[in-house]
Amino acid sequence: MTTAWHVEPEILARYSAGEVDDARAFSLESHLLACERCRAALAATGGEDRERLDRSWTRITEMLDAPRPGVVERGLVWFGVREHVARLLAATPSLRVSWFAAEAIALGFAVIAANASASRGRGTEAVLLVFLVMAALIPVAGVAVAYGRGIDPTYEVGLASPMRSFGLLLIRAAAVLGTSTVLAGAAALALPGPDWTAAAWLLPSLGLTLACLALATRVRPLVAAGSVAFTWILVAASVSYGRADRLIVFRGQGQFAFVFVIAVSAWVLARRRDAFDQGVME
Amino acid sequence: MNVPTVQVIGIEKSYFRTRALDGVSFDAGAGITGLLGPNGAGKTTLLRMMATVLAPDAGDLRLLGWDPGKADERLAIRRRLGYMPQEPGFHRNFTAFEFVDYVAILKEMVERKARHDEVRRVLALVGLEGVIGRKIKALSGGMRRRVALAQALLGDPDLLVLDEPTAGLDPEQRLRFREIVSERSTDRTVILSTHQTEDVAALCPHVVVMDEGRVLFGGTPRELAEVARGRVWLAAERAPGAHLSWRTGDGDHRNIGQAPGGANLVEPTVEDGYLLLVGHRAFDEEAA
Repeated sequence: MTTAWHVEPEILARYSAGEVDDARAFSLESHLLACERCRAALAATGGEDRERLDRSWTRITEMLDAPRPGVVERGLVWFGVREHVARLLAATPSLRVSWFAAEAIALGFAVIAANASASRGRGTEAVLLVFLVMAALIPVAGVAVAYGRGIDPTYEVGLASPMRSFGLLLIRAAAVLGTSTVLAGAAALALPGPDWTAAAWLLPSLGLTLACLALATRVRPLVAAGSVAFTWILVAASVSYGRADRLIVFRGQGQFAFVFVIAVSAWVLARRRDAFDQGVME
Repeated sequence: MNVPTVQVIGIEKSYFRTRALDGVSFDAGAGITGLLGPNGAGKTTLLRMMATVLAPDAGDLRLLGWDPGKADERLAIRRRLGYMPQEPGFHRNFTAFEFVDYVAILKEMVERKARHDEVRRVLALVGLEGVIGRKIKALSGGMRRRVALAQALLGDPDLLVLDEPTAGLDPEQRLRFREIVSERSTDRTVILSTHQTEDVAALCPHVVVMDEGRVLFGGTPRELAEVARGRVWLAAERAPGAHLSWRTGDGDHRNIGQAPGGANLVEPTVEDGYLLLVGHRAFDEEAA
């Protein structure tokens, strides 16, 4: 069989030398299958060698065999995340669409409550306090279910592999912190009368997340997250109770305290990072 | 025995007041070593230590010459280790290919093409090349176990630790498994746990029988069978003095214990030796 058009000799020569891009190579290969004349011309260039055929076959096998990655994985690659890191992140429970939806709903309710309170002429501080406390805790919850025993179904296989568990945990924690920050930041923009308080959860969220990771070197991640969340809510509630300024925990001294929490937690984490690789704590 | 690649020396482990391992010691070299024992014998606890995911309370462990208690040596072991847990977990939304690919990344295989080639190779080894694009949650239990075995085979490890690898496999799959593992055992160390005596008889040149956290026997399957020599006999009825007795397909009763004079003694099997060692616990379990 032959076709109405034929490949330019120069392009055939470049194809033969392996100098055309993948898209053009596929197009040429489709044409070559149907065009005897071009196949003969290609053979005359000394091309169609075994090596090239093998390369083409490998490429086709790769395309057919490697399943199309899921939405999250493709999204991560689109954002520039390396392919193998994207696969590690795709297995993170708190990087699933359902988790993002739960976060968005929780933050959405807080924003709606704050706006409703403002539209009725009531003070928004109490509702804002709830929003800020919650926004700071969201990444802690995400990190708690990002990696660990009883969380990741492949935890033991992962632990027995050479990849550092601490490295995997950090990759996932960073991704969770990033996505949670974007969501909480978007919600903060929808709060009534935006001012600096809309961003007051940023340092606390980083501090609480690092504190959770530091504590997870001693206890399971869920226990660490639960302890951090309980302590945080207790501190925020007791400091704010009866104060004229209910957001005092997010003001200057509170922010400074979180700088201290971040420094101490990072130091503990750096010193005890090997604990994640030592094996199951039983 | 050849040069030991796995040395277990006086290992102890307790969970609260329960002693899971009570001074376990044995050596294993290249080839397949089968850990045989009833549920609760301590096999899984020991294998998890060999997989470097659990530390002993006391005793020494040397894997491929390294101490898993030291960070740098543990990393060296993990680079040469393949591990299939008793209850392998999966990211169920991954396909078989994606799951094994995920484990390959954990095993430091970063270069995409070489990694994908390796993933295809191990999936083909376990006979799953036809379902690599299928989601894990859509696979049968036997297929999932083969996916778990495939991930353990990634990188052709020097030490392969397999916990109950044949559980849930049909006879044909079990034969295929034996073929895969035995092919890899000539110059590599394979430690597997099972309570299937036929697996041990068919696969393992070396067997360790455990019960209640202790080693009861170490030797070849033939030596394990020899434990029961002169203590297995057939009779029309259950013999009153037998430790264990069951009715065979031929209608006779196979009795194990102190044989009476004039008993119809028969050639003992690996199973007879095992049952004699672990006694009623194993028998009750198999009957259940």
